[in-house]
Amino acid sequence: MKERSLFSLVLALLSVFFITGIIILAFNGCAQNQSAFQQIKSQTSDPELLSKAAYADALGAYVAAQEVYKPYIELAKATHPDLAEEIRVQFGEARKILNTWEKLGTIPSSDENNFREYIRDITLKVALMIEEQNKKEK
Amino acid sequence: MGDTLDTVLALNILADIYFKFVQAGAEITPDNLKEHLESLKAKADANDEIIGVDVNQ
Repeated sequence: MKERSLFSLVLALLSVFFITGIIILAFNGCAQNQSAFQQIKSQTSDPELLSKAAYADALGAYVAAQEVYKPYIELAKATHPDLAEEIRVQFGEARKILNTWEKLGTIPSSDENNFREYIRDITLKVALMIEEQNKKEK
Repeated sequence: MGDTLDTVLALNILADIYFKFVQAGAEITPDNLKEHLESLKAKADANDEIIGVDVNQ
């Protein structure tokens, strides 16, 4: 029982590290391929362009999450319909934030945090679904 | 231990997809930022349709 709790803790910690790293990468890029914001910032200080570049990075993270989920949509619908619905709704909430971001050029930091949370949560749900599927196939 | 390894494997798959997506990005300049945004928006719209995302819900 104790061993199981320890594994659960390790599992949770690993998940947090991975997902946080992925989101940071999606927003900020890596040394070889910087984010749109970092690239634009190195070329201009125009606030409108910088704002658009920040929005582009968020939109890029959204598309990346979609690309992660796309191969598993049918599997999710067939085997985890509730989860598929939750993911669909969360994508909708994230997209609403993006639409506001696009319209206003900026959003409150609370919305930015909510957006990151939606992307993180969707990714984690997909990861756990893949894990479960892998177990079943063994 | 098997559970942990399975999850690490699943997360690795996701990380790999993310890395591929991020690394596929082009160089962004003030001149092509608009084009970059339009391309991302078109992808997001197409994927939203596949996923069934409805922002009016």
